[in-house]
Amino acid sequence: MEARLRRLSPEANAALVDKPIVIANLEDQHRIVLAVNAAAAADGITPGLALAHARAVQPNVVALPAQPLDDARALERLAVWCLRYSPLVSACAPDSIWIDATGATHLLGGETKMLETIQGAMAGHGLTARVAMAASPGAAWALAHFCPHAVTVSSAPADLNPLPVMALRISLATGRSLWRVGLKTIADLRHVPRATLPRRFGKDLLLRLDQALGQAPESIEAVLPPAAKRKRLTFAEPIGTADDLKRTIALLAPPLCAELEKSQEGARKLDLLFFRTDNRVETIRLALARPSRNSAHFIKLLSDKVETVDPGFGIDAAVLTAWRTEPLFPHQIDADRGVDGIGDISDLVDSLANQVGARNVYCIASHASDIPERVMQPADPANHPPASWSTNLPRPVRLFSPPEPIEVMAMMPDHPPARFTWRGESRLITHADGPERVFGEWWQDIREVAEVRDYFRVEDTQGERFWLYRDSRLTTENTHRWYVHGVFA
Amino acid sequence: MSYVDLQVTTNYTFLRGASFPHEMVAAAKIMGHETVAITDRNTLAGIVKAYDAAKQANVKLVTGCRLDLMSGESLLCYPQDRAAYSRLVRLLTVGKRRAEKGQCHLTYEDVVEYGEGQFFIALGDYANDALRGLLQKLRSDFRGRSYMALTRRFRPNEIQRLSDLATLAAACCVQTVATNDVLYHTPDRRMLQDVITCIRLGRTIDALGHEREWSADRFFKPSAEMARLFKMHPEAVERTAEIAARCTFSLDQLKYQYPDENLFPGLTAQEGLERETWKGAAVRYPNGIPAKAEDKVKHELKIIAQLEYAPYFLTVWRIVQYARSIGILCQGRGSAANSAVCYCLGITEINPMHRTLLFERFVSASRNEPPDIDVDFEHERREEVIQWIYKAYGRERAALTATVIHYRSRRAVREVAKALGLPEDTAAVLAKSVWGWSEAGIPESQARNLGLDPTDYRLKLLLQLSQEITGFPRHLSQHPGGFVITQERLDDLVPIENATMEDRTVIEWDKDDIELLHMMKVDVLGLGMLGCLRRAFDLLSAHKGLDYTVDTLPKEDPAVYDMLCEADSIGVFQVESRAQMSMLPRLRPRNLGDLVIEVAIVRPGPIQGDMVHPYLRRREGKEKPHYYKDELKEVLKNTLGIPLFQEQAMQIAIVAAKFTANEADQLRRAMATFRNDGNLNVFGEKFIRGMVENGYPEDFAKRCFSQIEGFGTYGFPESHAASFALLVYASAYIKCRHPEVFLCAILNAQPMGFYAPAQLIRDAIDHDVTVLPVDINASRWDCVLEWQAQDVFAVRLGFRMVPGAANEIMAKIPCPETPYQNIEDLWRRTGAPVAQLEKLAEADAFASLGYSRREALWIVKSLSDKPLPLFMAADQAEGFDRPEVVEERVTLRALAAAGEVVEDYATMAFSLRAHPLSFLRGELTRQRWKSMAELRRLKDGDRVRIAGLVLVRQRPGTASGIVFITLEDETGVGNLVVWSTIFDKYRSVIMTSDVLACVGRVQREGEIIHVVADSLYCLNDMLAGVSKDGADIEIKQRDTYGSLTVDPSKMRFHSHDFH
Amino acid sequence: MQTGRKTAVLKDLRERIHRLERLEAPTRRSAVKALPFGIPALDSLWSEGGLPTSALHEVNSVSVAGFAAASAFAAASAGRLGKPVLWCSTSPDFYAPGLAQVGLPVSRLIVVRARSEKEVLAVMEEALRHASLGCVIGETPRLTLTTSRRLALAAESGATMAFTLRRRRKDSALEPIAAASRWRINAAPSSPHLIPQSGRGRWTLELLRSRSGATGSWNVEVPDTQGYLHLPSALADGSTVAPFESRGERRAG
Repeated sequence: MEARLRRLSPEANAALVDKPIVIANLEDQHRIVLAVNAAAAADGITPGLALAHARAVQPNVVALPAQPLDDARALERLAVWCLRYSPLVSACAPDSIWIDATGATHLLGGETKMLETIQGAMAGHGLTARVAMAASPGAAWALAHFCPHAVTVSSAPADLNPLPVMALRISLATGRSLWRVGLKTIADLRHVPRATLPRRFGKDLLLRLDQALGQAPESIEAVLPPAAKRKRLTFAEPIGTADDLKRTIALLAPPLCAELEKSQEGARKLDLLFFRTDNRVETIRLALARPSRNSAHFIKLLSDKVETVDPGFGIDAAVLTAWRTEPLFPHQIDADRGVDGIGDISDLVDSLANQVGARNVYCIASHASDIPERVMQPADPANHPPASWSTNLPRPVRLFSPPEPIEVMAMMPDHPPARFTWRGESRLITHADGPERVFGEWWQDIREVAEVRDYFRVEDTQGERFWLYRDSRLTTENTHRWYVHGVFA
Repeated sequence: MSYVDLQVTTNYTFLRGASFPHEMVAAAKIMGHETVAITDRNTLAGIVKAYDAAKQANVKLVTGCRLDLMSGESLLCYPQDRAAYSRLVRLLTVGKRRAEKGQCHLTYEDVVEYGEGQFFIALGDYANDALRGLLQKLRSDFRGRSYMALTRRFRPNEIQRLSDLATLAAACCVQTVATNDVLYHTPDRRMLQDVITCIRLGRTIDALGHEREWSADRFFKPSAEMARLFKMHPEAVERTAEIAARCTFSLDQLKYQYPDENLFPGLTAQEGLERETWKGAAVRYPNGIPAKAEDKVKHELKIIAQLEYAPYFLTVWRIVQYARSIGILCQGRGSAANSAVCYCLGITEINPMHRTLLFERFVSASRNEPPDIDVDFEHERREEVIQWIYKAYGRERAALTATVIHYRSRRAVREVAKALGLPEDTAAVLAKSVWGWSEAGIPESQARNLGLDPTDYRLKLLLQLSQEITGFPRHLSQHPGGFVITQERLDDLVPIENATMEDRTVIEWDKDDIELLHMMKVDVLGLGMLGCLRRAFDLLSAHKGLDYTVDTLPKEDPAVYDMLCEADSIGVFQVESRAQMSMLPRLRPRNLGDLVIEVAIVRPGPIQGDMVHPYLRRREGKEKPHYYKDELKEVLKNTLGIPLFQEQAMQIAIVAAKFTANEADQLRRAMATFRNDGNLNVFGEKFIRGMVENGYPEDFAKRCFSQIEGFGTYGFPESHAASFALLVYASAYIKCRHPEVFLCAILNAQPMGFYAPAQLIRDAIDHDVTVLPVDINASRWDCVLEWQAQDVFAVRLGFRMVPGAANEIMAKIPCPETPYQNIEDLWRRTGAPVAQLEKLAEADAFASLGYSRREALWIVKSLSDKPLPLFMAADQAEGFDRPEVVEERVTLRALAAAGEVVEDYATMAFSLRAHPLSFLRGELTRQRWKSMAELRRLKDGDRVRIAGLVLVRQRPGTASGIVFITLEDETGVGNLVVWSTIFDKYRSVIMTSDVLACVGRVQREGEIIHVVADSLYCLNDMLAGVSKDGADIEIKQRDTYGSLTVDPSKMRFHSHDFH
Repeated sequence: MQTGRKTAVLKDLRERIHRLERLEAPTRRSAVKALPFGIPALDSLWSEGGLPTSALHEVNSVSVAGFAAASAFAAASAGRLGKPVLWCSTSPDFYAPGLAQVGLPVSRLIVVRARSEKEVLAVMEEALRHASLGCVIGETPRLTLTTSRRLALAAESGATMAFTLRRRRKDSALEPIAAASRWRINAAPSSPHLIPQSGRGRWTLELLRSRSGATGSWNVEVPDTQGYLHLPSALADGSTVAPFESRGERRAG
């Protein structure tokens, strides 16, 4: 729950901090509340309620859509983080993590201390966690979910007896059925002859009961540590010159690329860290338009940035990490130098971007708009959608931004001008086409509600062709403003 | 020659046109056009509205239609004359009947088949091969009646484009016509038009891109401007008027004819009607018809003859006859229904001698209004009548009328917000905050209260545009039962389409349209109470040997009125609502006439007109009737000088405000039709000015008019009230004299009325009715009466009361020759699925077999739906029951008494054992919470602490934010009034409590007691405490992700709420 | 491992030699040597049968409209190459829909907004040397003999066509630069049209200098959507438009 809030932008997060928030999911055409925050709980909203009902209770409730996939991923990340406590950790969707603490407890000062440490660490992540330790994963799950204490250490299966049947990880429907016949706790269930249960409540119930009591084995699926590729160099003597740094780069990049090649991967993000003798770290960070494991390319890009590194009193270690990688197969490397499209010039793009700034290297995407200056949008060269514009609307090759005001002689209501003066030069118009009427995008800005532009394609006596328009909004002097917006080829 | 707009798309081309037909006509007129055409896409749905507006504005309307063919070609089509109009209607009907509702599938071949006498204008923006093909086809098929449109789009190379088009047309020997392709009447609607395009395409405005309408200059322009815009093609402009002049057809020419029933060979309809009327009179008056009645019948027959309405009366008579013949209870109402003729014909049971209403008031030549008779049928059997009408008259002659579904605030907000790309939750919050149906839009202050920023531009747009679209037609739906029946083919008059409901066909026009064209409509409506009454009559006849009908019930029984005066009216037709119940003790009805007033007075009209209190004062004798002038005394003497009925308001308009009959007619229509323009205000000024000039006080005039406005929201004429009053009396009589019959009938007629079965059962028990639980060996599907002693019957609840029970399964259970021995026996003999047996177990239906609810469930759960094994079938053949399962005996913990009650409430929403609160009484008393019985002993203004189970939470749209809550305990029900400030403060308590406690002040109005709440508390925990069995460890449910930890004990009580 | 390093060294050596010899790297596709206009009067000026591709060309103009025409001329030429195009400018105000209409599909265009004239030249040089582009267009008001030489060298070594677009004052002198061709383009009145709207635009296209020594001046119509210039249907000298077929043949050859 809290993990989700952290995914929102800081501003959004701040705006929501005291609001009642629920996470709702669509089930059978109804949005059902899955989870609530403290403010919503205080208003009496509980999971399982229809969102419509929740709104009747508290009309200001903010409903966020459930994102089970993202949550599962976040849980997985958290599980990876928990590897620090034990090598065997498993994420159990939607809200639990198992840590196999066999032989690990003494490291953290005993069982209770370990659980408290974990709880504190989770709080540090901004998460409210309840932690329990028991002899089986099922029992630990049950206690963590249903024991009133935040930290529980259980020694005997009998500790489970007072817990409700829902602690057995059974479906809500099964839970309801048990409740209806008066079987409400695990103790109730243990009193009933085992043989009577499966035909009434399904096979899973006994399995879950046995797993909780440690009478049936349960295998947990462990998460593995992420395999970030990295190469490290330590220097006997601190280094400092630009040439030294470049040499270091030349030494680090090839083995990293070799490793990437082994795993058929390419790097998208590279970090080069220089550890200074004074315990500070200098960083060169690179983002690549396409995955790559071309060491010459890496060396060039990194070396170009060596001037930004301040070696201080010397550098005694360097680490090059490919911290984001993507699969890259050999056939992808040389292919794609197609005739159409950009082809594989990503290294050029990377290099230019590192020179003039990533923002200043772009492709052009088309945007469906009637307003001429809005039809082009800068796009990422690595991944840009095909651009196309209507060809039957003649358009200039250069467009002034902003349009330049002109003085004209034109007849109302929609005749082309006979003459216009621009940058001090008066031009007599010989040919004109128009008007092409363009209406403002009223939903963008209130000023565009009344905006109507009448565009004219005009040619003067010298054959120079301009794109003029009249803004139909009247000025305070009760006249119209005219502009030249572009020049035709 | 002046220009005529021949291409005008109104908002009856749903989600394309952005102005009403009447706005289009008015705008054309303002632009100086004498003539205008309406061409909606594949529909004539808006044409009558345009025709009406054109008539008012003195503009000639060219009836037309845009035909969008399946091939992608588009044509404008204008019928030249009446015959061609019929062909166009036929064409549209063909296209619509072969497609799904709302669609029309037409081909060019269809157009050729029905194309005689039509003018066609081909549409196309570019001179391409497709257009050339279409022009060549049109030229060869329709010669001089085919044209091609030239339309300015304000795009580059326009002059070239138009000239290419003109050249193409010339090459195909087709003449050009200038059109303006109007989509809205003024430029202001441009934004709205973009928004409806978004709604139509399901996109947001930001993603609309080039789907936005091309040119936004789609409004009317003066002829001179059109001439200027087409100065290269002057002939195309001139031709518009030529075509318009050649289209001589007008909707005036539609001649509607009532079906000539022809039921009596050799007799005219009038002769037949007279014969049947006198025959009926002889039955109604077995001792000879009184002279006064005879005069009245003669008088009415004369007017009917004069207006040629006889076939209409015969049609209604025929439908009623049919329904009676198959045992369906029905009753007529409406303006013409309360006549002596209808009484004699058996259409109504209102004896016209008891009323002084004038027949002319309902059926009058000057009012220019066709007669109107609605017939109510038993709700669940109405479909039989509908299908009979289709069969008897044929689908070409009978169809349901349409109802135009308009945008209301809520939907407008939701859809516009989506189009503007606003988050779903903003829209939801805003939409939810619109209580009920409203046309008012959402004011800024309200948005601010909801925590939204009204200065946000998109939100501003949302508020503005959703208000603008409110009132727009969105789609056509079917009228609940308004039938149009014709003598000639109906599909010569109006296009007919398929309804969403199977086997129904609907015309494109709504009731206002057909009224305007003087077409006749019979409303075949469903009424739940008639089904209830029929069941009651059947039960009375079967068990008590009493053969009653609505007509033959003992009349004016004082005991019945005594009961009503005490507001003891739960379940009684119409007067069971809270508002009606608070009126009963004040009005103190003593006869049928009083009931008519009772039914009519608690309506928006009299309430908005502030007529209720003056009437009550005069009735109680606190104030003398005062008529201002004698002319009004005639109108208002039955209601002590206070106008209460819609008819009276109309009469006042004529008598006191000096409206002409025609104006009054317009007023009535403005009143009845939902319109978001200020049409009614124009009448308001005239009405008030008229009355004041005529010497009435302005205050009175204003109140009269407010009342008329109230009728607009929900019109309720005396003629309806009179018919309803009869049913009020009938249902009250049965409830009063035969409460067990009443309960049994009303439970079997559910769902209907204001109360849930739980309240009806409780009310019956309070009236000493014995109610027996659902039982596997005694119940049937329906509730039945069980004989207990001479003339004493108990109500045995039926399986229909078990939530989730399936009729077809349960029908196999009842009344075996040998009772079921145990659950397995039942399971084996009926083969009922386990899921259904579980429902019975949860409803505690096995109690008489000695099983507790839990035990029954435990056993049922051990059974399975798999077919019996072979050997078991063999055993059965030998009469030997081998048990299905052999297993250890399990002792389940028994539920405590309170637990059983809570379970009863959880499954059935009522309990025959006890009230859950009776178990809490000790604790409640300790905490000084009072019971409902104690509440009844308190005085007005007393402070009170009261607690009960929440039955209903209501927030009436008219009551500006007040919430009514009904609480119940073992001693009765009590009503809370929560003002909006208190509601906001205690909102979550109110909405989440099953047991609610309230500290407040008593407000007494006669017999009616309210508690005005000051503070509220949730006592759910107390309830949870009593229902607990054994030593459950309380484990607090915590907020966690996923439904895994939802406590299954959290079973909510069923209350009827407003969200 | 050993062999791997050896081949890498060899490869490196080989590339260096190629660079020294100003030959194309063997991995690169053999590029088109010349870009024909499709107009015989122009194409016959070069022995290659069109504008040399691995070379620098300069397009001059003395007015705003002329600069637009110059942009269109470069864009149309670049578009006909059918390979990615990089356009570098300190103020890239060209309008993609308009460029598409003179034959430069924008999906092949990469834009670099440079922060200085110096950066324009640096970007051009790097892009030209990268050798994967069809054409590099740069907007630069000043160009010296030295800088133009560097660009020409880069164009040659990267087998990439280069255009510099230069807007100059009407009366300024043309300093010598190392370009394979030097053009001046200005707008010319279009033909009278029956309907009072402008017809196809026209240019006065002047070849001021070329490596082959040829110069000349032509009146042409603006490029079509395929990027081809046309001669107006009735020229003053009475010659007619080159038939479409002949253009096609030349393109094929």
